[in-house]
Amino acid sequence: MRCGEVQKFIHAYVDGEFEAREQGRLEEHLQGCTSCRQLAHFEGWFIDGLRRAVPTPRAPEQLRSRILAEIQRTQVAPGRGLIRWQPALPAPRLAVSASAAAACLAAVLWWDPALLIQDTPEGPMRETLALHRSRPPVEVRGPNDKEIQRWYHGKLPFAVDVLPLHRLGPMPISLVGGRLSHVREHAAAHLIYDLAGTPLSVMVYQAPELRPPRRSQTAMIGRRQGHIRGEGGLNMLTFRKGDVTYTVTSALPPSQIIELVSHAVP
Amino acid sequence: MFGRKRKKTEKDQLFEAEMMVHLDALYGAGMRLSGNPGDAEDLVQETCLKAYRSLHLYKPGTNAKAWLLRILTNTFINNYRKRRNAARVISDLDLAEHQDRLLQPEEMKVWSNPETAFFQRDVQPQVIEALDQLSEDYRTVVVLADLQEMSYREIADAMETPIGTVMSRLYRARRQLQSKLFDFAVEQGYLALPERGEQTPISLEEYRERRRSGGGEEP
Repeated sequence: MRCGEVQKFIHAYVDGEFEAREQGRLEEHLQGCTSCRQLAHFEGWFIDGLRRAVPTPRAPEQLRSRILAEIQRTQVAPGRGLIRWQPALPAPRLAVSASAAAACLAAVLWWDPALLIQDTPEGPMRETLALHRSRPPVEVRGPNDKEIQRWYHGKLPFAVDVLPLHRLGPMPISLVGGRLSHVREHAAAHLIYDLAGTPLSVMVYQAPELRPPRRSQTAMIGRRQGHIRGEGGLNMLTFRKGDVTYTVTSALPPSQIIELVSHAVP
Repeated sequence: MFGRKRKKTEKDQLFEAEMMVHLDALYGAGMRLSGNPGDAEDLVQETCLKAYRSLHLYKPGTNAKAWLLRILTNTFINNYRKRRNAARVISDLDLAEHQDRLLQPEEMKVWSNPETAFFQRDVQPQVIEALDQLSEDYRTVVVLADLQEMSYREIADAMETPIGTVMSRLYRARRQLQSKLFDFAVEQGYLALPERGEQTPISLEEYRERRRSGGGEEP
């Protein structure tokens, strides 16, 4: 690592945003470089001092009682308060049919724009696409899918099935490797394959509440129902195994992605 | 808590146990974002009511404080930004242009020296003033990252921006705070900066001589 790079990422380092391996590389540099070490010390000192100089004030006691009273009031008298609470509105759940859930979500969004803080189905798709395009380095190398599967073991709150896309089917695919990633707030496994020089990625994460995004088409992978969506010249096939979501992103046409994945997913 | 009219439901209990315990943190963030107690209280109240209504979206056992701060930030950005007056915008631009000088290594060293004990002095009013003078986006990242200790990912979600934007805002914001507070420390005489020796006069002749002898720098 060079000084310029260290300086650029010094805040990420002192904020503890680095993964263990990146941190190791940066610390290796710090050991041999006085000026970068001094910079790291300074930034850490400053952030720590800032935090201690501005103590968290206590919330006024009447604020607490006011909030609880307001909740009580809007619960008891729907339609009259600041907030029109509608107790009949069910929470969106996947168990409800997709269209009912969509209608329900539409009602929620119309009812209060503030609820937009909820993930839209497009959010994770966009992020998956951005991660696919960023071509990040792998943390564990292929081509052995079992080895990669073992590497993920215990690192994520769900089991990752490394799809053996490279061992099946007629296409020239190799498994480059995998890394840990994030899709929105969900911890994710990012698997990277190479298809004749172009990247193909599989993002694996647990988001049971996710619904199919707009402009997507239903796709059958064996008996499993998934959906496929085109985006900026790439196609994204999403399906589930249990409550774990898999999104395959590639420049392949939809029919070929479906065929490829069907071989690998029983 | 909820009076006699209505029995406390399971939802009320969950809300009190998991959400209301973060009221101080919310109020603290609200104070620094909005800059005054009245707006902070309104902001926190609105945040809590929204949180109560969307409690079904919260997964028990996950980071409740980050979830609440996300709602608070979102509410702040949507409500309060609209009311921002023109004067504030101009001063924001002004600050962004001029106030993030990168400190020299020597200055950093002297300032963070334990003997200077800068943050052990009563600097709270100056730190708060420097925070308040940051533009809203910059102040928001500092409040969330440094005062509330949220991760970059959580901040990116709360502000609905990419992580890269969070990082660059945080970088600029901290530079602005640093140069402002450093200037304050110098004004107050807290620092013993080494005397700068008189600069060697620039000699064009000497430069030309060096060039001729081949030891000069690139033209």
